[in-house]
Amino acid sequence: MDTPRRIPVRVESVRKRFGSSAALDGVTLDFPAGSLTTLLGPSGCGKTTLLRVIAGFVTPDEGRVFIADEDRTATPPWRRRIGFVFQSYALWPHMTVFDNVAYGLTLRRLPRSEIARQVERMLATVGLEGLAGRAPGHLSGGQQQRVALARALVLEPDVLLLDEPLANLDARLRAEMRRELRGLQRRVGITTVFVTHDQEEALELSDLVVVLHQGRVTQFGPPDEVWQRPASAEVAAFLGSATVIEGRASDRGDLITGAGTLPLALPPELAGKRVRVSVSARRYTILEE
Amino acid sequence: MSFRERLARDPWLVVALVLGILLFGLVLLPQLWLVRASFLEPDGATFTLQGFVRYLTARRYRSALLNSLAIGLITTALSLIVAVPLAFLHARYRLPGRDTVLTLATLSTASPPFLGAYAWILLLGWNGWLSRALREIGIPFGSIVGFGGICWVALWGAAGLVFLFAHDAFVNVDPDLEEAAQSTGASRLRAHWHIALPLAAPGILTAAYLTMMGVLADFGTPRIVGGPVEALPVLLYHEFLSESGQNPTMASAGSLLIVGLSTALLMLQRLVLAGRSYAVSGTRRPERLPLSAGARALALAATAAFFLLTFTPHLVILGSSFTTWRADIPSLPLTLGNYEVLFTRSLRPVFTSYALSAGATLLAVLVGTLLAYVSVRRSYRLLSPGLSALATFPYLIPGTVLAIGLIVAFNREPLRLTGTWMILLLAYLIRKLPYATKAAEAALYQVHPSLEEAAQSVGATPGRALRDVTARLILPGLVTGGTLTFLMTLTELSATLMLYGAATTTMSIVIFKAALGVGGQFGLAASTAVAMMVSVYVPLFLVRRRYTRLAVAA
Repeated sequence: MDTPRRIPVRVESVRKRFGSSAALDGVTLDFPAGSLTTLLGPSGCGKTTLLRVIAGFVTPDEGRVFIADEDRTATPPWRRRIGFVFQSYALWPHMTVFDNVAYGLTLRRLPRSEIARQVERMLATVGLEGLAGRAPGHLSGGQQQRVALARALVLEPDVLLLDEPLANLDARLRAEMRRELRGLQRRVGITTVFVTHDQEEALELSDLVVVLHQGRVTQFGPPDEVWQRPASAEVAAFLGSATVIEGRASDRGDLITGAGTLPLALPPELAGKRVRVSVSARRYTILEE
Repeated sequence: MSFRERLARDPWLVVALVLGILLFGLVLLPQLWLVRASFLEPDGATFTLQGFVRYLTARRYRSALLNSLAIGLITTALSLIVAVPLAFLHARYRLPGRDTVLTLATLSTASPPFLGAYAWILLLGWNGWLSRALREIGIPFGSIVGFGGICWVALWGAAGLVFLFAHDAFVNVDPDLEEAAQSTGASRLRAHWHIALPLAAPGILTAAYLTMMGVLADFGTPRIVGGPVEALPVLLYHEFLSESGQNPTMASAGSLLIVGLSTALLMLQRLVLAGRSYAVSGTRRPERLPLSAGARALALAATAAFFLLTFTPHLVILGSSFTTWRADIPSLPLTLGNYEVLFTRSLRPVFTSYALSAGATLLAVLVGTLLAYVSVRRSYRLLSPGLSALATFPYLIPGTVLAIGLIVAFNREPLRLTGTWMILLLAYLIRKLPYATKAAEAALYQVHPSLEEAAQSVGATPGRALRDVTARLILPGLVTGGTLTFLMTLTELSATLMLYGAATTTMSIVIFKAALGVGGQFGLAASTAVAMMVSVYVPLFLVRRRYTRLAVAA
């Protein structure tokens, strides 16, 4: 953890069908080493399935998953060196905080003193000193969240996968945890994939945002770019930050609509064409010519 | 992916396949043998439909069928009339001792029907204490034996269960709904009648269904109390085992009829309850309303009478175990001699019961847990629902029918099991498998699948994750389910009676023989019956809170 290992993750042409519906329909993405990428989209868009494909809980029908440039598509989750934080935290209720965090280390047959040392250090990192002996049921939501993080990070996994980890927290705690998570991820330098349906969360947290719609990637880029230049009407509508207006571009670059004329400075080559334009508070984006 | 590859990747598929073969052989195959036998003349070669036709035309068969139906309907109706109003009073009005009342009702459901029949005969049979006492003071009371007697005994055997279910249903009706009715001008009684009762109906109907099923399948009560009145399970027993008129065709056809009736009842219950399961469990529990002093006294008197009658068998058996028996009549002086006989010379049936029940329980919990895991956590397109159906099917098979099926299926080489302890073990395993599976399913539903995945994400193999997480978390549920399975097995009579041998005489057989007035060991039977009740009630009392939830959830 002291010298961050920077490990890239790549998924290539991943397809997955559940029954007759396609959950993932040919997804190719590069998650740069050390980055935090958010998978964003409405429920049912395939974002959780993609996360579970990277983790190995779901075997794709087609396509491959590379971690550290190594094809791990056929590697089962328990040998894939992933850290996973579940929406419900999935802390084991019959074990103490210490035992929850220590479990993975025990499986690696480390000496007891070494396990204790690493767990204590990890609990300190997430700010849970002194709670090692508690049962998870006696912790607050935020504290449970930290235990789940500690349990994943203590094993120094190649990639950290988070499935809507902040969804069960109240608004204030959520903002706080968001900042903390971001800080921790930077310090550790671990490649992180984060599933959410909360735009604000994605904007604030991520280096990169993937917008998924019906199992396809509709946009992939830095948050600013995604917000300011939504790639399609769906992205714009999902982000909710923009209004889509249809009309005809005039010679002077204005947009002539049924309700009036908007002075927009559209590029001259669009003059006379019908266009759909996404207008946000700060700027506008041409969606279709 | 080829089937071979899938097998290699997913060990649970192997488990599911093995379970499928096991259940097919143990549960379905014997029933298929019965189907075959029911269409063949007793010579085993000629095709016939007479087996079924005679249940509609021949007097003895038809009346057994009608008796069973009538006893079922009358008992169910009576138990609703007796238990539902009382349950309503305790659920909605301020009456003292609710915890005691609920504990008593819970405990009453664990008593096997034949024990009740035995006790009521001691009390109201030809030579019963009460019968003779009545005759002595000049009331010409003969005996309870006959159609009415069966209904009477079955009624007090079932009333506790109906009380529990109805109480639970009434407590779960959101009080806002009734208050809303009152706010539109309905009187309190009208609100009870129009709102609380319909909303509680699904729970009450479930209790009625369980009562009807129990009464239809019961062999002990009609055999002990029925006298000349034959119910279907009793007729099957005679048709199959009697020295003179053995008729496998009629026994098989009757078996199928009774399984068909149970299945039809199940369908009916599902049909009636479909779309009726209101989500009535609001956040608030009903406030219990005050009662006037007179009404309160009346309600308490009714409660006392209800539980006195429900527990009459227990009191009678306990009392009679301390009496000196002259032939089949318990007399003074009081003595501990019956227990002396039990503990010095006749503990073997107790041991046999314990050993068989413990073995069958361990097997049932093991198989049931594997079945539950496959049905809750795996979604094999054919295997999961198929296994689930096979595991619940024995619930529809009365013990008598199950035993006939096993005898027909396992009395030939290479599997000649008849007369051995193994066939009893099998019968117990199959009979209680639905309960063990249900208990394991309920426990598994409480454990979120992500707990197991979390273990895998930190490096645990699936087997390790199952052992360290899921198995540890469902263990308490399995212990409770196993305890109840053990108790139910310990009191099994109908299948035991057809399958036991001299070396495998159980407690239930000792008691049953005395109840029929044969065998001559009346004092021993009384002390054995007490031993059985203690064996049932001590563990049940310990797990009673979980039990109530489990019983209501089933």
